[in-house]
Amino acid sequence: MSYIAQRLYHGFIVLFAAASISFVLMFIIGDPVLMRIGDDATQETIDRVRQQMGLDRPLIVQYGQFMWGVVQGDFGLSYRHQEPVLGLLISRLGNSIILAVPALLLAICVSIPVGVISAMHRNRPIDFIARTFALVGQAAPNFWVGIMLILLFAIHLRWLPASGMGGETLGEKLKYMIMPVFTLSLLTMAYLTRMMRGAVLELMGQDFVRTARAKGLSPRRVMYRHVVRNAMLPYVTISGLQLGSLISGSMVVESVFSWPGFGRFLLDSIRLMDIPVVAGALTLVAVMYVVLAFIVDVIYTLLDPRLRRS
Amino acid sequence: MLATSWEPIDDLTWELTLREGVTFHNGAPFNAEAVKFSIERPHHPDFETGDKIIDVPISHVDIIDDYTVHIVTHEPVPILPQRLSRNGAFILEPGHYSELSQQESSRMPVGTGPFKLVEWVRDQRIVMERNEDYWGPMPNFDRLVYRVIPEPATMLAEVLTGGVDIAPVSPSNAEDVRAAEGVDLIVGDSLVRAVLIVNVNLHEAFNDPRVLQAMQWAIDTQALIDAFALGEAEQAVTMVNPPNHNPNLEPYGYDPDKARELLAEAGYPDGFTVELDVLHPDAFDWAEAAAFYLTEVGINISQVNMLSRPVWLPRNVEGTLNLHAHHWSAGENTPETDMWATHPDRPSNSTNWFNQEWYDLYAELVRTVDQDRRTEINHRMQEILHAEGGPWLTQFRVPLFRAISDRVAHYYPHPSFLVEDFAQIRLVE
Amino acid sequence: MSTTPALNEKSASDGPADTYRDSIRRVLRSILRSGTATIACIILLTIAFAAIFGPALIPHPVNALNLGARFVPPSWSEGGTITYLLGTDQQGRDAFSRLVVGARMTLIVALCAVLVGGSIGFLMGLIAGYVGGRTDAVIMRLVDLQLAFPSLFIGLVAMGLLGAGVVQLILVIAITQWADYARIVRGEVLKVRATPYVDGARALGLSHFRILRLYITPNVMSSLVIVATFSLAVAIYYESALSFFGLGVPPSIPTWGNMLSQARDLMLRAPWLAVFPGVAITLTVLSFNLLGDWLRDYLDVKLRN
Repeated sequence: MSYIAQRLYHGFIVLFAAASISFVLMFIIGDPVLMRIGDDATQETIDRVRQQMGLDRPLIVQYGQFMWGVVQGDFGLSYRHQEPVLGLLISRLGNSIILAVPALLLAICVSIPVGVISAMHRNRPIDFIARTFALVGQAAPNFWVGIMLILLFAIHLRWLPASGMGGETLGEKLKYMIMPVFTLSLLTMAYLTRMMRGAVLELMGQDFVRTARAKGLSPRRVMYRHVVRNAMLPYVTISGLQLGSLISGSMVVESVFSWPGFGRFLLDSIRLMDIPVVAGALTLVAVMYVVLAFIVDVIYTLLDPRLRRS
Repeated sequence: MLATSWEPIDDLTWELTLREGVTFHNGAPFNAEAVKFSIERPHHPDFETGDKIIDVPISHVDIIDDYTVHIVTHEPVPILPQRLSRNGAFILEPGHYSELSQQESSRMPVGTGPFKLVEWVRDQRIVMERNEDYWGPMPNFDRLVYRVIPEPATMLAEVLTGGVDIAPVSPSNAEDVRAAEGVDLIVGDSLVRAVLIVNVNLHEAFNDPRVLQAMQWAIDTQALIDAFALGEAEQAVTMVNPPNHNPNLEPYGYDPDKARELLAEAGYPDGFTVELDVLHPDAFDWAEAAAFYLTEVGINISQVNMLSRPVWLPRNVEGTLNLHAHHWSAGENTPETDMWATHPDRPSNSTNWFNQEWYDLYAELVRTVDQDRRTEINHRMQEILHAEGGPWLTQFRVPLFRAISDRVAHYYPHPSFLVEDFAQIRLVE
Repeated sequence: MSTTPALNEKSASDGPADTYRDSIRRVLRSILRSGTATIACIILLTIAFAAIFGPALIPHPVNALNLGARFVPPSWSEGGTITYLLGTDQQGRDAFSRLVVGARMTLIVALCAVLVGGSIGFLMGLIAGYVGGRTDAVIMRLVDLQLAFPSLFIGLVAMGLLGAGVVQLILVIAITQWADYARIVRGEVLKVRATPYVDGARALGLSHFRILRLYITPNVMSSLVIVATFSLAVAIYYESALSFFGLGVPPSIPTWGNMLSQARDLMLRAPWLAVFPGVAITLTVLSFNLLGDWLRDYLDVKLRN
């Protein structure tokens, strides 16, 4: 268990550092007073607001207050909205999950069969098509894919709404989701497909698979019993670690499709230098990462007894 | 309008007669009490934001009777009615606003207008309902929904597919709207000027009026208007909008040879190099083109930067911006608020430009109530700006392009950009 | 990965012209044998050619505006003209010329970022692995911190704070990449350090610098070359993504990301402007990925022999 304790300690250091970076951001960047009251205010007003916001206190006191706030989940007020940052961030998370979960599911549902089929028919046309799709999917920048989809399906063909989150019925709501979910999914889908294909190919060459085949088991049975099952293990851990690319992806996709989620909110806040929101998001993302990495570590430890001892 | 008449009684006092029979959205009556509360409110020491109405040196408001008030100022304010009609000078319901904190009340507005706030989903939509007790002519629709669509292209797609009824469109897309079926293009006049602002501290050359004049001659403003405002604007001479502009002044034309001559005369035959900052996203296209024109005569624009508001705001106050392009207006449409832009005492004046005669005239203008004398001072001040060549160059009032669906009529964008009159809209049956 | 340092050193120092020419021939043959690698090389050479010689060869100066010829469609469509092969933009500038010249800044940013990020990561990894102890722990916590955030997120925040600019962009992309190199180099260093060669060398009194140079660096190099190839693809994506959001290269400098950013608002008026820069990015990223795949196979095979 000392391994777990060590990982926990590392995670804590990361969180502490992330929160400290957030404070530095808040302190050195921009002028919160100016952001709040505009550029035509008198010096008198500026001084008064500075005092109200507690910006006249010594730095170390402000740091202490900030860190204590972070522990309690208090990142201060957004400059733009004058509301607590954490609430604003969490209220957006839901909308992002609405996109991210289907995107991840789509990626998984496509990548496993395509990866397996592609590997089984290595160097045949179907493999060629699957590999080309995966390579291009990995290379095409997601913001451009989004634009191309809007051009084609919303503007040219008029099948789907161009952007936003809307619709009254479930069917209408889904229409708004199709393009963003696909765009968000594409990179992960391509990556996981290539991974699955590689894993299956590697396993097919291994002794136990050859043995199973030599025993006269049907190729299909060998495939599902031995190859796919074994390929699933690294696949599951890796697909669980797609958090980072999903956050990055949602910043891009939500912005291109005007989807009111966490990613777009974050991007808007960065553009408008709403530093408390950016700082809060920084810490929140670090928390999500540390928690997820910790869970993955625990699973690894449980699966691999050698690690438990070291 | 909530006032039915307004008149100065003496240099420091204005008398306002208020409309009777008006109620707030929460049912409270509109009266002198509410006017006194609203006008004095931002002058209270606890009031948080530095809102514009503070610029007016208001002393206090006297209640004469339920529907008559006297607004008393510390100094003469000849343009008080314009000041009171701009964004920020709203009449608020005293009970509601004194009960709630500023933060809370800003999310639950209570006014007297034709629509009441029903729902506000941040960054998505604002839903308003018709106010059945509105004193003016009633709109013939029940609900008004504002939708937030950040990407211009997707907004346009929504207009063309009937998702929204009224939307701003960029000049580049205006032609498509004109050509599309079921949608109309409306071009509205505005008070907002597209302006290239010179920070005279940026380069020693800018202290020479000949250099500023050369920049005026260098840029084909008419071509910019034709390309980026679809020809729907006129070149302005100074930042003073009609009807207060000086009609005797002619704008600089396009004459690159003259520009090169003036530069050489000023001692810069080989030109010089500066950067250009763009402060307003809509200004980028014409600013990039203007940069090309300036580079052609030797004022080499090495880089065009697009700055977001939080980045330029502090630099604006410090006066450290490069040459910068902006879209700007004073909402009041008076000579003193228009020319306040380049006044040395304005905290956010980014030009660092100074002219003693102009400065003294401004001081006189803001105190002068007599209309003829005001016009005289105003026109002289504009002559100075024109002769100097700057510090504001290349100006045209940015036309407002709106796409409106055929089922909507009587909509016209408000020239100030700051408010909209949606009560005038009628749905076509 | 099973070569001994001694062998590696031999092949590196033992290089008369013949062997050198042979190895180049071998590499070329291997590239030609792999269809994908051939295609990748052709695309990358074309783009490199455009980046180097493009500005001298393009039909129109990149910044020459022509307000009378705005939004001319591509030459093959109705209303297009051969003068403007891929049409013109909102300033009446030639889209083809800008696409060609755009390759230059895009590649400069990506190459510099990978060079800077790779160097930082290489040094950090070397120090962490070789010195060990507390230094190692500190560097690895920095790596942890870096990996806790999605790179695009760091890039956007940092560029938001620094403001758009080429130098800023290079540094920011470099910073999002160093951690990968540091981890790989540290891992390799630890592996090599555990072999008897290094102990022997130390016993012989070789300086730390010589040990690093002779035994550790050559072993790490092949991994680094592979990672760097993939990072170029990633760097090109970041350059264009950050520029697309207005937080990369200043918008007046033509890069593919900037062109897409401006094209987005003109999707209806001029859809062609949005197509080609995206195709260019896709092809470049694809080629670097293919080249990386080939390199991985090739170096692996070579090492195994």
